[in-house]
Amino acid sequence: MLIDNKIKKLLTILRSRRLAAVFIILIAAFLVLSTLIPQWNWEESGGYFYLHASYPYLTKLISFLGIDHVYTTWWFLSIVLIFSFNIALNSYERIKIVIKQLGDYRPMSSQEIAGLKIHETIPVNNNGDEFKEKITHTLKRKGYRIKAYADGFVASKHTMGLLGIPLLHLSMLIILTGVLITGLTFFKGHIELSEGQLFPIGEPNFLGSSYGFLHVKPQLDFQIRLKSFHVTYWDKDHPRLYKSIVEVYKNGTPLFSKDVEMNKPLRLEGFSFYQTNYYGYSAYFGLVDKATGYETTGYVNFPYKKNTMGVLTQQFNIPILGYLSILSVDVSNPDRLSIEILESDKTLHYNNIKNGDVISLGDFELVFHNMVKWTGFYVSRDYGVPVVFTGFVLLALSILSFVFIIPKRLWLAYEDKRLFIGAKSYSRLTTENTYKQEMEEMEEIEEECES
Amino acid sequence: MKEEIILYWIAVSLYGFGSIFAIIGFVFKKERLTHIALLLCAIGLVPHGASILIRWIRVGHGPYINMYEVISSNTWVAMLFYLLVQKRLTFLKQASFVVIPVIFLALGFGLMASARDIPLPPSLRSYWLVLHVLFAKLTVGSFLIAFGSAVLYLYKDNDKHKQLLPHQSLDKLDIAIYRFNALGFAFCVIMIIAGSIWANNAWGRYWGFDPVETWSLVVWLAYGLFLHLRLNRNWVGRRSALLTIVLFFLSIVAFFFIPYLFKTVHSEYLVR
Repeated sequence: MLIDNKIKKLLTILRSRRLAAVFIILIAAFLVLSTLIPQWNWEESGGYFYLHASYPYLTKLISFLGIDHVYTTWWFLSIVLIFSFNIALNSYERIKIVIKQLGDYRPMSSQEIAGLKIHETIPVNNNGDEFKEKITHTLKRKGYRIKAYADGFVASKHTMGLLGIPLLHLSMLIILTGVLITGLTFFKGHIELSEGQLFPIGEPNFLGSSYGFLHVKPQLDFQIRLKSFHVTYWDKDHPRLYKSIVEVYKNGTPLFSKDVEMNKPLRLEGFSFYQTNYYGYSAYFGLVDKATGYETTGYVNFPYKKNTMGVLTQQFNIPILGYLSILSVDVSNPDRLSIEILESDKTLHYNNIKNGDVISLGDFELVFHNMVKWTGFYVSRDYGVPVVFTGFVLLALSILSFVFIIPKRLWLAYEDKRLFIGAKSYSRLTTENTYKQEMEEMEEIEEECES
Repeated sequence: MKEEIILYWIAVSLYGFGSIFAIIGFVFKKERLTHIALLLCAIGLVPHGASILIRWIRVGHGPYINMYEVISSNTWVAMLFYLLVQKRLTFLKQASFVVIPVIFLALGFGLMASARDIPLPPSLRSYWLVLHVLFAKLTVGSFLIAFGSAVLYLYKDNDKHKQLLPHQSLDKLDIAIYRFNALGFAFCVIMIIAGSIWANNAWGRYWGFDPVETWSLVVWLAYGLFLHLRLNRNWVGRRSALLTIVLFFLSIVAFFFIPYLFKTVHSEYLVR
């Protein structure tokens, strides 16, 4: 009994609407705070050094409280969790009320109608039936659904508008659930592809990746090949389009080809590949075993540089041989490379090379095939997206419905040559004006019947 | 370029005169002057719209890349929205002494902002972005009308003035404050949703805690709080009007000043 009471008391506090207001203020305040303190890289920011020099205890306090990573702190997540409970409990209560209101078609006596906040009494000297019939016809024309009784009727319109606020709360819960799913199961990675390169999609091949707490590492059996990459400019400072033409392979068989652009990602088995604005030159080499003729090929990507001017350099280790190679390319003539090959500190080879040139390195030959372009792609998988977007649609619909759709219900009873007309207010927004047009039309009909 | 600037200045001048007439009309209770103010603003919409259109054709994209374009188009939408609304809800004509000067001042701010021609970057080529921007403009327009109604409400609620403006109903203004805040709340959420879908298509994430994103969410939560307090705690009348004024300033800071204060995705082109 005592435990029951305590649970009831806890539930009462949890579903308190005052508490909801407090949580909205708290969440908004912490969101604002999170924009004032750089999140996740606070200790590398200029603000940190400035503040730390003058108030070291303040910076320690900020780090200790987690204000430099608000969204992942236990206290912020707890606030969101309790707020979610609050919304859920309120929704439950409100849905019960709405179900009751939706079915509220019981007839009312004239005394009950006269007791309603919005009501009017019209004396009818003429035939009451004719009056009722005309009113019924008018209300039907205005979109009301009529449920008739012996001495009156109930007319309803837009009752679905009652669902607006419960739907709003429900949609917020759906969005929060989607965000939770994202947080637990997301995968984000980054790849760089050179023209002609076939890329097996899988964990070891991502340049960088991050996972949600419950994410299972991707095991994929398809590959993508970058057929070509194109970048066009409006003028020298303003890119117009980044486009990659990619081919998708499964078990070595090409499946389809697709143009991937910004805002037009490639979607594949739950994964999405997004075109980035990173690109650069990539030197395509082959290392041929002189004895067997077997060739191993690979790409050396030069650093990304927008509107590249001048010379770009890149170092790489030649596989098998382990020699260090330093490449330089003049971007005004990207098909010519300057190459230096070093063994320890000793220069083995230094020359300019062009497409198809071969450098002999003992038992192997290094072949420079050609210069191509590389570009970057973000890769992501997020099971939360469809849930969040479903919540978004419901949220927009619910807000529009409670702003624009005003549920209306009128009661009419005939007694002693008087018509009692009353209306219920389902929210604080219903005023006498809400039913003004209906009331005026009824008076007009009454005058018409009289004449 | 020259025609665009000339048309913009003609619009600024008409709105400027409109502001003067609206304020004098309100202070001296001359309804005729208020009508002249509204007429001047309606005329001003033509050169203002033409200026936006000329720029649109020249730069090859809608008015949503830099702050000048954003302010110019936001004020055009807000003015059109207000003029249409006051036609139907005639009691809001009196709010012109707030709405028109705010639009006029915003245009002045737009003149100081960056107006460089920036061609459309690849990341902004999206229909979702167009929706995002359109609803941002409608949001600002709705909040502005709610703000104007709130200032008028507080003025009328003063006992001294209740006698002077008997033809206007405080209840009507109170409902207008609620309705335009609620409308702005609905537009704001559609703006956030469209932006979120666009971000997901462009970068693979629907939320990035970008400062402008975060502040827009704060604005939405704050207006949500307004509705919550109104529907559940009966915050109507003066309290509702005062809160509306605070919220309007919050929304202006969030939408127009945060891009200047923080490095964000939104400030990349807006304030350059």
